[in-house]
This record gives sequence, structure tokens and C-alpha cells, in this order.
Amino acid sequence: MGGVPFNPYIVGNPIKSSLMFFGREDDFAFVQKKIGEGRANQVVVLCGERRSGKTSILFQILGGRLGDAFLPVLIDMQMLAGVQGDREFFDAILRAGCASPSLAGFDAAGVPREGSPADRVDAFLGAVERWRPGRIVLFLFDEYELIESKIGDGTLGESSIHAFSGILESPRRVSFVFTGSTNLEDREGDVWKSLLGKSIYRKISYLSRRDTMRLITEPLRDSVTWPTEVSEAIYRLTGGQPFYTQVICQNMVDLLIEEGRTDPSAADLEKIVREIVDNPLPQMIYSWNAIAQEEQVVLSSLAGRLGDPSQTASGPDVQAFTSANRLVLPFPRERVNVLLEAAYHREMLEKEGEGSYRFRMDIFRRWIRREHSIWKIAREAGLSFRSRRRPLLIAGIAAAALVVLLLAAWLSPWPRILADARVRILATSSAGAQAGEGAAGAPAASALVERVVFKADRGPFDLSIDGQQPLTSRGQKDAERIVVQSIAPGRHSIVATPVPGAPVTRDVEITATGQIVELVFGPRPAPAAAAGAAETTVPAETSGTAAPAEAVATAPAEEKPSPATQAVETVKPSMVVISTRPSEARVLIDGNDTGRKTPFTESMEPGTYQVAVEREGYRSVSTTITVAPDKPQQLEITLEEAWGQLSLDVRPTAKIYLDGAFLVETPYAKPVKVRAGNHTLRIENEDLKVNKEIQIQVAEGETRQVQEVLKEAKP
Amino acid sequence: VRIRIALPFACFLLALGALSVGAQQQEQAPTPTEIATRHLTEAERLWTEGKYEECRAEVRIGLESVAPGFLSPPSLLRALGRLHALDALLAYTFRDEGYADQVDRALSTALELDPYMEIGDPSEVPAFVVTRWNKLRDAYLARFSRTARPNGLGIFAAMVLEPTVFTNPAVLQPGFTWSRSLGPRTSLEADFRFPLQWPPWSSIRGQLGLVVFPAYSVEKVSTGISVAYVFGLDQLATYTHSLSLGGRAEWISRSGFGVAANAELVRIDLVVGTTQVTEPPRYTEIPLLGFLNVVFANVTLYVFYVF
Repeated sequence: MGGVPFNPYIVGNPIKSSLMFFGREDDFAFVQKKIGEGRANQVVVLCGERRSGKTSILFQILGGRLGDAFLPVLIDMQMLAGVQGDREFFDAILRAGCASPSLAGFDAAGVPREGSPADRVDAFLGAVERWRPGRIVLFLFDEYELIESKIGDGTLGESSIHAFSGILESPRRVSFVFTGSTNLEDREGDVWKSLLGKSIYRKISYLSRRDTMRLITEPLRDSVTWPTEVSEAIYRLTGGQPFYTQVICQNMVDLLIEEGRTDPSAADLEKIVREIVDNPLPQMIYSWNAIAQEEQVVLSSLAGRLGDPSQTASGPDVQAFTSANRLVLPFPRERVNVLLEAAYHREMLEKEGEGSYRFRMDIFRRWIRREHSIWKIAREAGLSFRSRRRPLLIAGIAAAALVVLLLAAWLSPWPRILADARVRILATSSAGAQAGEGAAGAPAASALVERVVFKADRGPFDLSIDGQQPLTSRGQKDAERIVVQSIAPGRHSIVATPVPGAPVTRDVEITATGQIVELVFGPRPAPAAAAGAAETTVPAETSGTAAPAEAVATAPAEEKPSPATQAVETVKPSMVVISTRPSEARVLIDGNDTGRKTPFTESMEPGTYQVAVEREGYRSVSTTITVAPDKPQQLEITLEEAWGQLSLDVRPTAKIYLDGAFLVETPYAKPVKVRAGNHTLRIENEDLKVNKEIQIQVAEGETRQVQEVLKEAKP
Repeated sequence: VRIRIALPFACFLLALGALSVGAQQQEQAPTPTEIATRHLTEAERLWTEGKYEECRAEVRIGLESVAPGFLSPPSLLRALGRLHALDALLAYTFRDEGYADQVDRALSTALELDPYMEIGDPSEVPAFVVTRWNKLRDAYLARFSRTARPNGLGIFAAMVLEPTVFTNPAVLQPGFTWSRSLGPRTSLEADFRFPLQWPPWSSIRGQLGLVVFPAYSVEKVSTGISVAYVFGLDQLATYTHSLSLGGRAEWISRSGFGVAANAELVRIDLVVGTTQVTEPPRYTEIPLLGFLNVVFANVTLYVFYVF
């Protein structure tokens, strides 16, 4: 293989493909744990600084990262631009829900077009629950502060937030994931107060060192070998900030493609960093301008004080730096520590030890040293300088220097000095001009072809270029397109694989930026044929009032045994597969507990069997199956949830957790709907030092009373 | 004649008796404070026993039975404040639609009635209500902070608390005062005063000083220390420059009206010009080094308005 085939790094746009997304496993696990199966409906606020990757996380959730238990619906906040009033707002949410890829195939005919927003959303959730029982509808809102600003300008009413609160309190399984700069508690005003008790937040921070290394090395692991010193240096420059890591990697790969190499070096990295420092990204300028002037003074002083990436400095060090530069700080000196600490909490700085700071992203240190030196900041902020304490001494030195100069001039012939000086000046400027020409004359990124669109007649599909790790349009909004941000011009071998479908291999000539490569896969194969089975529906007998539909997949017609062989094969056992949704249900055959759970696969003698499946919190289902000789049979059962109620009289107050998930804070005068079955109830009052667990059993339709009067626990 | 005399006398006695019975009946009628307290006690009992429906009914009856007036005693306001706080707790307990607003409304009303009410700690009261209460109370009290109402105008009477204060008007000096808060605990003050005697320029006094209060709360007595430069001109001839240190106590209402008292503790005088001061000798001054006086009982009483 020759050089680097294409540049996979994405800068500026959120990462939609799972192939370029690394890390955040703990963030996904947090969301799963907090709002997953058996947990209460909640708002999870993912908050963090700009460009920390919050939106990319949403796209990963939309792509199914949380698993089948969730039905993610991304709400495009751009729609708010044209929304006038709560009704249109919730209309847009419902439209987004019906159009979401996770709800493909959902029939929204049952959702009423009239009624209050809360009722319509409830009807929508009810229809989804019937369509996919047990799944959790997860609304994803990017930059939730936009809702607040819309409420502020009167476009939306605060009732929309109350409607969110009402939706969360409904018995339907639904939750929200918001992304934004802060959590709800820290927002000004009271707009979010009705959601405060139902929200939890998680700070989205920088990537871990391991994930940063994966982001650097894995996308092109087959073609580029990253020396450890280079990847470590990138990590120190960006601190694991995903956006800036991708910026540097993208620049590096562009350089490699441009020079036809696959071996990034420290010199390449230095060249790229200089380029970025000289031509800062808009995001860097934005971040700087968002900082208060006092903090700019301190950060500029810190950057001036720190000569290399390994150094750290304390508050007194920064003060010493400003004093050495005769700068009069526009605030009390003690405030330096406060401002350093504020920058640390905003993740701009990191701490080593108790009070030593350094820039979390070293690229910021270098950029601030160059572009925002303390002198420039002093001028912008109108800071004053201390007067010189020894003017006479300086005047004396200046006078002595003048005398020496005059003496030298008198002793040496004037014309020669002037001529030498001129020669020196000309030589210097000439060298500078040559250096400048060299920089300007270097081949730029124009050697690369940018934004090449691979457009298929149907999606989603995977795309591999020159045998590299494939890109995919699965989970993307436009599943029929894959855009390659930059690629070397020339002939490339591509393998495009539709989902479902067979791969298509062809060579394409990439010549121009914005080129569109058309891919034709032909019609989508029929699902029944692909699965090799036909589905029929048979009635089922359930122990509850409502009988859920079940689907039984039979063997394809061509596999039916011929009459001649049937007689022989009647004694041959058949494979029976019993699966339930959700799984992990106990299987009883003819009243006997098999001791196994679904998915259940067993080779059974021909005959008629009474099959029952049981799972805690769900209604038991019983049905009869007839096993034919050598005819595999699949039984798929959807379990209906069984509900009971809890009446909680826990005084004076306590936080109640059901099976580990927060349920409600008492006093609460209404019964709480819970799954039927055995539960662990935890009663917690930190101030009374009470933390006790009780086991309860809730039967379907029963209202279980829990009464506790808490007293301070003795140590 | 006897009948004539006895009949009016009997009527008089009957009238007296009726008045007495009426007075007794009036004494038995409960005051608004007693009514509110009774409902509050019952509601708190029901709350403690977890009988929330009955508690809500009791609170509503209590709040409908008594309304606060302009001159309602603090005990009534406190009882009504507690009833509204219970109303907030009940709104949270039932959590009907819009409960957060109901909680806020009830807590705001309780705040108006008794801003220093203790709602309880999170071991007894749901954290949601405690958080809302603290937030609302902080916002409410911030409206009455020194920085929110930085300007003050008032009148005062400076006097020497000695026997002649009632006979010699020269020892009583009324004046005008102006103040400006420099922060939550510090005020800059200036005042100007004339004696109650003719001619008014016989003793002109003015001062500029700082008053520092370690803590300040509206409708509570705040104590602090005052430091002032005092300028005096007597008979348009004798100048006195003094540095005065005193103690200050003040009370400011939520409406903005306030009263204060300042007692001078020590003063350094520098007298320039003639020393024939018309003021009588002060019994409350103990000369030390000729220019340093230890002063006591020199008191200034202020009535002022802040905005």
C-alpha cells in the first residue's frame, strides 16, 4: 500500500459515525444505569464546555449505543427557530419522534392531532409502548438552553417545562437527555424548577488518556504508524479534548497525504502546532473572548510564566511574574488564586499538587504566549505599570553608553560602520524574505480533494476505501450518503456494502473537491426471503386479561418434509426456540420448571406441549404448541408488564429508592405505580443518618402500604 | 319617692350587670392570634401523624378564618406564616399539576409574614421545600440589603445625657443626616447640626464618618462601630477638629424607615482659635492630655429613611 488513503478525522461537526467515536463508555453506562430498565423516568443533563463532544454523544445514542431497550429520538433544536407557541413545539417533537430511525415502522395513526400537548405526547408514548412494549423512549435535546431563551423571549411558555415534568410523571417509560453548558440547578431564574427534582447531571469532560490514544492511532491503524512521542505530545497539547485532538490529527494526516508519507514525526507536529498558533481556530478565539478580563490577565501571566509544557506555577509565581514586569494588577493580589481556581474549574487549567497550575491544553499556553502576551493584555485592559525606582541609575547607564558610542564613533571611520550595518540589515531582510517565500511556496492543503460525497440509491451502507476500516451511514440522518472530508486525488478501490445486501466493489477516480460518486445497489432484498422464514400469527392464552400477540416463525415451505419421509421422521425430534421480549423469563413445559430462561432452545419430541413463560414484573403467558417431526419451531412471546402501587407513609421525610433507582421523596400523598413483584426499598435520610432497606412484594393491582416513622439513628 | 329613686337605681344596676356580662363574653371570644394558633397547633399535629388530607383542610380553615392586618401583632403574623409554610409542604406532598408554583406562592406569602421563620432542616422537611425556601428567602431579604437600598436621609437629635439637657437647649443639637452604603456592611455618613439657641452660628457642628456593622439584618437590631471626623465652629471664631469613635445600634424596617442611636466613646479634640465656647462645661467629658477626652453619654438619636 502507498500513502494514507483518506483523512477520516472530523473537525467542526459532531461525530455521527461510531467508527470515529472513542471512549465515553462510562458516560453511556451512566445514562443506561440511571434511566434503564426498572428505573424511574428522569432528565439526564450532559453538561460541559463547548466542543467537549456532547452532541457527538447524542448522535451515538441515536445510533443505538445504549442498546435495544431504548428508542432514541433526536430533537433538532434548529426547529425552534420557526416555532411559535407550545403547541407547535410539541407538534415538532412528535413529528421528530415519528420520523426517528429508531421508530422506523411505527404507525402514528393512533396519535390524536388535537388536545393538550401532554395528552398528545402521552398518546404517542402509549402507541409506542403498544408497538414496542418495555422500551424506553429517549428524547435527546441538544443545547437545551435554547428552550430557555425561547421562554425568555415569549415564544414558548413555562407551561412547556411543566408539560415535560408531567410527561416524566406518567407511567410510560420515557426520559430526556439534555446537553448544555451547565446543569439545571445552575441556570438563572426559575424556568426549570419543576424539573429539578427529576434531573441528574453528568459533566462531560475531556477524553481519558487511553481513549485519546485510541482516537489518534486507531482510525488509520493499518496505514499510519504513530510514534509514541508524537501521540504523547498530541495528548499534552490537547489534554484529551476531542475537538482539538481531531484538529491536530486532521492536519497531520493532511500533511502526510500531501507528502505521500505514513510516518508522522515530532517535527511535523511542531510545524502543525506553529500553523495553528499563527492562525488560531475560531473556537480558540471564542473561548478566549468568553473569559472575563481579570481572568485573561491571570492566564496571560501564567502562560508568560510557564516556559515549557512540563512547568507548573502557583498563584505567588504568577504574582511574581506580574511584579517582575512592573504590572499593576487591577484587582487585589489575593484574587489571583481565586481566578486560577476558577480557570481550573472551567477545565482550562489542571492542578499538580495543592496549588500548582498549568494549562490543560498546552496548545492554549503556546497560543496565549504568542497572541495574548501580558503586554497586549495590559494595553487592552488599560493596566498601569509601576514607575521605575532607579531612574537616575538608568539615566547614568544611558549616558555612559552614549559616551562610549561617541568615543567609538570618533575612533572609527564613520563610512565603514554605516556600510557594515547596511550590509547586515540587507542580509537579514533577504534571509527573512526567502524564509517567507519558502513558507508561502510550500504546497498547501489544496493538493487534497475535500468533501467527496458517496451517494447510494439506498441506505444505509458501509464504505471501505482502499481496504481501510469502513465508514458507515448507519444511524445517520441521511443514510444514503457518506461524505469523506478529504482524500488524496487519484484512483481508489472502494467496497460499498448496502445493509442488507451484498458488497459492491469498484474503482473510482477522485479528481475534484465536492465530487459526487454515485453507487447503485439495486432493489432491497425482501426480508422474508432473507430470513428464510415466513411469519404467521396464532392466538395465545395468557394468565392476564389482555392476550398479547405473538409471532411464530415457521420453517420455509421448501424445507417441509415429503410425505414419504414424514413417516420415518415422525420420531425425529425438532428444534424449538422460545424467545420473549424482554428476555430472561422462566420457561415451564407442561407445568414443569425447566430451570432455564429465555431465549430457550431445546430439541423436543413431536407432540403437543403446554408452554408457560414467567418473569417478575410481567404477566405470565401460557400457550400450547404442537411440535411436528423435524420441523423447527420458533415461539416469540411479548410479555406485558404487570403493575401494582406503593403507598408510602414515611415520615418526616426521606428519599425512597426502588431497587437502587430513585423513586420519590416523601412525604408523598399519592400511590406510586411500580412493577409487580419483589422489590428492595431503600429509605434514606442523610440528616437523620437513616439508611435502611426493606424487602417488599407487590402483587399485580395491589396497593402495598409502607409505613415508617424515622428517628435519628444512634451512632 | 322611694320607688322613683329605686327604679332608676335598679335600671342602673341592671345596665351595669349587662355590661359586665357583655364584657365577660367579650373576654371569652378568642383573639385572631388565638384562632390562628389553635388551627396551627392542630394542623401541625395532623402533619406529624401523616394525616395529610385532614391537615390540608385544617390549614385552609385556619387561613380563611384569620387575615393579617396593618397592625397585627407579630405573634399572629408568625402563626399565619407557619400555616402558609405548612400549605407549601402540603402542596409538595400532594404534588398536583403545577405544584412547584403552589409551593413558591405559599412560601412567598409566609416570607412576607415572617421573613425569619425557620422552616426546619432537611431531616424533617423535604429537601425540595428547604431549597426553595432558602432561595426565596435569600432573594427576598436581598431586596432589603444595604446595597439594595444604599441611600439614607434623616433627622437626628444630638444630646448630652446630663441634667441640663432639659433646661439648657444649647446641649441639644438637631440636624440632618445623609448616608450612602459603600458595601453590605459599611456606610458613609455626613451630618450637619445647629444648636437650639440664637444666633444659630453660635455653635455649628458637622461630621463625616464611616459606620461599620459586622452583620446586618432587616427588622433586627444591628450594632456597629462609627468613626467620624467632627468639625465645629463656635461664635464664628473657634474651630474644633475632632476624631470620634462611637458605638451604633440601628433598626430598619422593610418599608425603609429606621431608627438608630449612636453613643460617643472616645474623642480627640484639636481646638484652634479662642477657647471662649458658649457651650456649658460638659459633665460627660474627662480631659486626659489636654486634647484627648474620654466621652460618655453623648448620644445621637436618628430617624431616617433608606431607599
